[in-house]
Amino acid sequence: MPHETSSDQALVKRVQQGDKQAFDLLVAKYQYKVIGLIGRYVHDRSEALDVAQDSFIKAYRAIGNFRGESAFYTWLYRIAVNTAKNYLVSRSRRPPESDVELDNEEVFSAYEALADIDTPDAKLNSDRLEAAIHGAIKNLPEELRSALTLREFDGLSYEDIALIMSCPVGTVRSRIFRAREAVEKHIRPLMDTGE
Amino acid sequence: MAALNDHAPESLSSLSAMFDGEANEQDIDRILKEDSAHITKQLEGFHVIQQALTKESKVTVGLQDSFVSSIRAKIDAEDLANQNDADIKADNVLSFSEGAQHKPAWKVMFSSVAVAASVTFVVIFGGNLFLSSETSNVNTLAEVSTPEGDESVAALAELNKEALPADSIRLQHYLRQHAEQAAMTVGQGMIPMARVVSYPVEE
Repeated sequence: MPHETSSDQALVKRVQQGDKQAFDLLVAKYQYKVIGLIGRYVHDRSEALDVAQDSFIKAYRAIGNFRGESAFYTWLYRIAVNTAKNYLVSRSRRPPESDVELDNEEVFSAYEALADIDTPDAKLNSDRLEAAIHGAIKNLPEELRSALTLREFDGLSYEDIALIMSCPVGTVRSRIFRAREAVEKHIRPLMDTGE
Repeated sequence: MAALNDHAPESLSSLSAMFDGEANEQDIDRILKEDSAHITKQLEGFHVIQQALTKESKVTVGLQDSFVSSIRAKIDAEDLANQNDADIKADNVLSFSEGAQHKPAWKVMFSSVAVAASVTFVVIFGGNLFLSSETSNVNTLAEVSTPEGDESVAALAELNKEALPADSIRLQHYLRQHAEQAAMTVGQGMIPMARVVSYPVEE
């Protein structure tokens, strides 16, 4: 996605200029994806977190060499996979034959596996959280719900959504964040108790 | 710093755009001014919503800011260690040069003269030693290369004529006379004569 690349590129450029806070932002954005990805190789949660941490530190050390020829996440993905494989080799464990695809669905599944979701309490909290999210989305005004689902469910860019909804890009941006804000407010109490 | 939801809806809008990869430089500036713990918490909310919408599976929470801050702490610790190493190296280099700068001028001059004198002494002494050893080697060579019992013509030719003793010159005369007589009496005597005559001997 070209938009995603340009947004990350701006952050990468700042990190290259010595802004560590910009790197924190990249970590915050991609931590779930990277941990989920590593979870496909390293199944223990605490080990996966350590490997993910190493991957981000390696990325930080190497970011000066990142020239933006690929998307930032593609580059980070490669570092994470190599770190996970090296970790398994160092523990005399065999890495999987084929690499994990750059696919959100698989990554999220792996993150669930790592999150000890099978414990009764965690499962109950997860069920509640999911129901609350769907309930909150159902209660959103039509234009907010459409904008959010077109973005999250269909993965469309703001520009494409603006074309579909016949409105300016700025309006799409505003609708999406208002939708998120409303849902997030609704589920926050559940998220805080789930920690 | 203020929580995003309470005081900074613009930051939330920017963060939402960044989450979608649609943020511009101004958005990033705005986000970076906010507290990172709040940003991370907000991003977690966005992740959870995305998770619920993108697939029919259980949503999960629990990373919060601890993961980001632990990575940051490790990076800072490594940087600090590297900085300390660099400082120690720089201090060592500095103290050496500073030591040289704080020496009194007379001490510096005296040590320079002492070094120059030592070098001169070594050069002269070494040169003399080299020359004397070379001469003795030549003498030894002359003594060794002179055959003791067999005073053949080849050995004589190699030696300095002035150094030849009178006996040797006399011997040459005898040998020549003998060769001439032998040549007169026997035909085969011509060969030793030719051999002896071919070597010039000064008288």
